[in-house]
Amino acid sequence: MIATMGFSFGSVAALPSIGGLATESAMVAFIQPSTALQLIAFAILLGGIYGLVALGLTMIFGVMDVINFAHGAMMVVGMYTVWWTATAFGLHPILSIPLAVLGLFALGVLVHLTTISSIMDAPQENQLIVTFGIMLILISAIEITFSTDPQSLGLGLGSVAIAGVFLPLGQLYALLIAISAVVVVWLFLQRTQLGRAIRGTADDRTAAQYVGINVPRIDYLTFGIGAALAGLAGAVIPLFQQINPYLGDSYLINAFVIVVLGGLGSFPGALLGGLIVGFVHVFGQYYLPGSGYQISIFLIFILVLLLKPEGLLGGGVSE
Amino acid sequence: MSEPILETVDLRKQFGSLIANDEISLQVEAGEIHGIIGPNGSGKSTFFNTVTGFYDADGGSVYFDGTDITDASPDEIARRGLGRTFQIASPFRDLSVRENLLSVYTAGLRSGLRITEGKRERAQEIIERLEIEHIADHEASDISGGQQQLLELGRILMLDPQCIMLDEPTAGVNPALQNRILDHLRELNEEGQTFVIIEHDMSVISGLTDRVTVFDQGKVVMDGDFETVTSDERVREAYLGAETDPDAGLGDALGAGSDSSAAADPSASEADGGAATTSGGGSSAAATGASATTQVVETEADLIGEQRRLVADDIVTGYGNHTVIDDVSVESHDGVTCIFGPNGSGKSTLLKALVGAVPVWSGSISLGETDITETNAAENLQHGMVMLPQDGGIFGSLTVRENLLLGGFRVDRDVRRERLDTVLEAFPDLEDKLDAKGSSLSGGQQMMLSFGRAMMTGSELFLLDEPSAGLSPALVDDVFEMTQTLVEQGAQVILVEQNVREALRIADYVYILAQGRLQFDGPAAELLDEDELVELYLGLE
Repeated sequence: MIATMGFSFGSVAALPSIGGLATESAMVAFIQPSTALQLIAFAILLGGIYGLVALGLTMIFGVMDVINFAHGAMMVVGMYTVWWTATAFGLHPILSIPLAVLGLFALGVLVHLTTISSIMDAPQENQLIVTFGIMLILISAIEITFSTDPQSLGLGLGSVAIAGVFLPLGQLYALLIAISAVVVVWLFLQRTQLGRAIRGTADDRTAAQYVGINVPRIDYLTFGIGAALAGLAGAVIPLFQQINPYLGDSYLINAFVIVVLGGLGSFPGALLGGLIVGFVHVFGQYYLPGSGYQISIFLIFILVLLLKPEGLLGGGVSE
Repeated sequence: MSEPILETVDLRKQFGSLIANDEISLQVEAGEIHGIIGPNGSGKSTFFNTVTGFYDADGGSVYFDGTDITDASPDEIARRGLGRTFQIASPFRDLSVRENLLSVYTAGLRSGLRITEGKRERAQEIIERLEIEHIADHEASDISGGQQQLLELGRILMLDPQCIMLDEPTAGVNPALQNRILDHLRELNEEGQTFVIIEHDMSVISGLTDRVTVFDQGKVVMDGDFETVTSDERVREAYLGAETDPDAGLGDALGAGSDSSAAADPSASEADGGAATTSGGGSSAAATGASATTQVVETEADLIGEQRRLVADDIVTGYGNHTVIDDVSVESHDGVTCIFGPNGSGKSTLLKALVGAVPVWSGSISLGETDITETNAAENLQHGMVMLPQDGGIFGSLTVRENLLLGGFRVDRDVRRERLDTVLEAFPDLEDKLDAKGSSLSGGQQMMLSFGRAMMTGSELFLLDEPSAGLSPALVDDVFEMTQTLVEQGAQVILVEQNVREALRIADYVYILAQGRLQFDGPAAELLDEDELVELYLGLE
């Protein structure tokens, strides 16, 4: 896990920083007594998105033991789905975001059935390399189709001020969508028989067969849902940020940190990890020079690995 | 008595709280073939690993040829002349057979620079002696498992060791090759070679060894010659499980079994009378149990033959190129069908093959009218067959209620609710724990949950893989009671068990497996003589 993340580190510095737009404007507008409060608000806004990104990743890992390197690329496909349908057909985000979610679910199922399903019993590296290959294919396809130039929806949503705290509407909407998605997925996993079957499969794949669960079917559903969550996370990003084909990578790297931080496969762990990274990111960006925040994130990551390797809320998807 | 070549004194090895080797004192005399037997998990392989330096001992000492080698490293011990093989042969796969032999370092680093003529001659000698000339230039990955075992032996012989420790040299080897390996061992022994051998196959042990040491739960139970050892009560206990009443022989146990079935008979008929849901299996099961010792049953069993649900013919299966089950035919009978056999005999693999969790290589399985040779465990559930895996296999991170509801994954919501009530009625202890996580339950409760979850599937055939394993004696009784609950509700049970004596109390029909082959097949009532049982069990013919 650590080794696999290692080779991605190099690209971090070259990538545009996440949430950069929002925090820059924050720094201009609010270096005031309410700064702390403002930073907390930003941290929660960013942390929520991070949590959403990590959710799909942790779910696929928890159920299938597959580390999905294509998760970030799937986010990018979600981003461009929203941007492209808006610019080409004038589709409102209210319509294009669900479209991206459905599209990515289908893409996830397709990717799983054509590549991963046949190597589920192979060593974990095989699946990892396959998802890495899928990532390259998806990103290249986006580059070829839409060029590498940054794109923007140009919604100009503006912001609201509540009790002196400035909230960019784009990020607020994104957070609300993220929260709703988490609640829906949570209820699905907890309350429905299919959700229980997914959690049961995450817990013990062999025993799942013995109660009549069709495990390969659970696998492709899980991969589809994981991809759909990636798509949703990607789809809300154009609401508050410029997009480019490489944005997924920087989110993905932090998502790996979040997943490990919260505990591999842990659902609430992903949200908690998301919030922690959100806070470190926003406060670090404000108080530390340069990319100090990213260093802090990794320092915390290493500390957790050393002190509590199972993660803060280590356990199954169902925890 | 001659000086022992290998001796351990109070050797201890511990893994966490598990004491794998508990003060083992053992002496191997020069020139003998010394067998080590014992149930799985009794610490045999750990003993090998500790003696040969692969594990650090936690206490005690090891003397080889008069020298203390307790703290020596594995390679040092090998060069001193104490060689060993591993359970899974591990030749250098990319080297040829001959290169494997030549790769042995005999004289420190220098011997690695140039292969001497002497070494080549020695390799050739071993190749000829083991009759592996025809595969000498094949890569080790291309030869069969049995040939790999021979190669492993040859590689150790290159060291010219004074004593060779063999860890199951014939496991998974076909009979012809197995005999060849044994012949080579005997021949080498006649020339003065000392062997220590771990073996599950008792026919190998009986014909080969001068002396046998029996391990159980990390301790030495006894040692002596094979006959003495296998007729000793303590050894039988290690293999067959403890008897509740130490004075009662197996015959008594069987008698008691019949009595209890007879006592259970009224309730069973009652269940049958009031249950349109049961398919009549209950009454016939009770009948079989009640009159197990009479001849009448035989004919009755034939009459109800059509209702036998699971029929497996000529099953061959295994893992990789290792055959575990070799041409075995079994059927489910009314009541409890037991599959016994020592560890490594393939019981669990057979059960997994029956349920579809392990694909069969050849043979056929049918359930009633349906052919289920190719279907997997999840699909077989629809045909009414469910497996309780070893340790229960419950979902630890789900609540008890969720575990039970998942048992009813394949049925409608209403049926599910109804069955949940039935299960809670049968196992009222689960009712208070409904919202507790599965992992918070004790071992016995987890097994109860596993029974309950399996009942939720509404299956008519239950496959139980050592449900009493790891449970305290009191809970073992509970497990067999729960098993009988299933039978009373009209189900058939196939039970794989280590606690042979306990399980025989509820058995209606018995299969005994040894080394992947069927040794016995018949009504439990036919198994009256314990000596016969021990012979069958240990695979002696």
